[in-house]
Amino acid sequence: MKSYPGALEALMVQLRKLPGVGHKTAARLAFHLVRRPAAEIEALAAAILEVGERLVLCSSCQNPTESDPCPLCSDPTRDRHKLCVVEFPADLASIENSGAFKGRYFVLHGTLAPMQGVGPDDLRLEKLRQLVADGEIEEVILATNPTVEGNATALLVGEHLRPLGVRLSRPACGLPVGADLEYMDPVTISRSLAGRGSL
Amino acid sequence: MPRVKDQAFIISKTDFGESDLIITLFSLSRGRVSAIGKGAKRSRRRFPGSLEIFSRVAFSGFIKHPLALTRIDECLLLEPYLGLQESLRCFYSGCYFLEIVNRCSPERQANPELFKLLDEIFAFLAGGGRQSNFNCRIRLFELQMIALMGFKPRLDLCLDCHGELPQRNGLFFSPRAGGLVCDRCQVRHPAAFRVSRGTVSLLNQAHRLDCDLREKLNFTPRVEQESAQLCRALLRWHSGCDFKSLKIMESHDRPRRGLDRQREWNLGDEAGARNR
Ligand SMILES: [Zn+2]
Ligand SMILES: [Zn+2]
Repeated sequence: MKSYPGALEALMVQLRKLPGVGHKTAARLAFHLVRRPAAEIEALAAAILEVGERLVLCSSCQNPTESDPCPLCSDPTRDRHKLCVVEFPADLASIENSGAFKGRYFVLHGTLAPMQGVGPDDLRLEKLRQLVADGEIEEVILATNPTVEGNATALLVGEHLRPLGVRLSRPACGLPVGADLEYMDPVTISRSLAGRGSL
Repeated sequence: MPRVKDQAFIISKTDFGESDLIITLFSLSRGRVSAIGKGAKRSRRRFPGSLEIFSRVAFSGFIKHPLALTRIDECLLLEPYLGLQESLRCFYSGCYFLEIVNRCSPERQANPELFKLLDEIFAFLAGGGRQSNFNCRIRLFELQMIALMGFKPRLDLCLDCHGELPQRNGLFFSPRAGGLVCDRCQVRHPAAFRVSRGTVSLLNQAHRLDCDLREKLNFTPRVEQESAQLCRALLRWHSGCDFKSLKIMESHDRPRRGLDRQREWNLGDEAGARNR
């Protein structure tokens, strides 16, 4: 059993709580930090503290923000009638970076994962329902990932919102840009053919 | 290094580093195994859409050591069971059966009959869950699964005093004993609960029913409820834990229960009459 100095061990314990970080990676990161100049470590610590102190979830879209409501929700030029529902903040960022959507967002912060104990109660559905119920939203785009869990989550969200009479839609499933049909899975091929557009 | 080529159901997957995945599979020749999919997050060519839960896949890879992770280098989709994503009821039920296999089937032990049953269950669930005897079919699948895992309850005598069981009332099911106890002995089994003769005779016949009958069969609400209670008590006893997906599946079913119950009463009574 290796034993590290107390401070180093404490750091590794904290690092291991991060997603995808196991014992080996935590040790590697910790030893890397030990070798860095003090100023760099201070800057990192300050950045982490700041995230903890200044970031809150936007009360409307649930995306992390420094001001509530967030800049996206308070931007008067955005389309108030369209709402895009995503699994995680990173998905919102991807759609936003594409520039293809100019409406509003809602972040569920998860997907249904019954075997891991994640059910409907863990997905902020009530906040979403309220937002749709008292807003001017006409269409909700269910942009959860096209995985089994993402598709089931879209069904669930749809079930919750259907009584409100809004239009519900789901992004099309198709061939990725630059893909090679030869290596494409049968599900993607059949979905892209089913959702084909005219030339 | 022995190469492996096998079929499997995907139970779960988790990220491992930037590009790899740790995949839990229920395989035909080795039962439940954990495997590492090298580059699985990136390679559409070697893992073409084949790592979604419920999917039946054909994979190839190698095993460095009998106890080490299987390394999968290619995985092809055989059957995605897409219907399980089209109804929440079917999705939750599918997760429940996968969780039973994940928690109760021993690691690296082949169980080809269980593999076949899982295939049958997913094929049924992919049908969309609109069957009027849906709950009854789920109960039958639960019973079959329990039997294939070696937890089949003994129902022919009192497992405590080894005496004969009372003919009508006074039957108790003890998860600890793994079967029935008589009304005199049940005081020594704190978790035991009362079951009816109807449920016991169903349990006796469940695994002998042919496909045709299974498709038409329906239970009375009492038999359905007791059978569910019994399966869950057995699974809980053998696995030592509560099933996470079960709670979620049950809370989804609850709001519509009233209607289904009504329908099942009628069908259940009919089936009861036929059997008499
Ligand atoms: Zn916002
Ligand atoms: Zn007895």
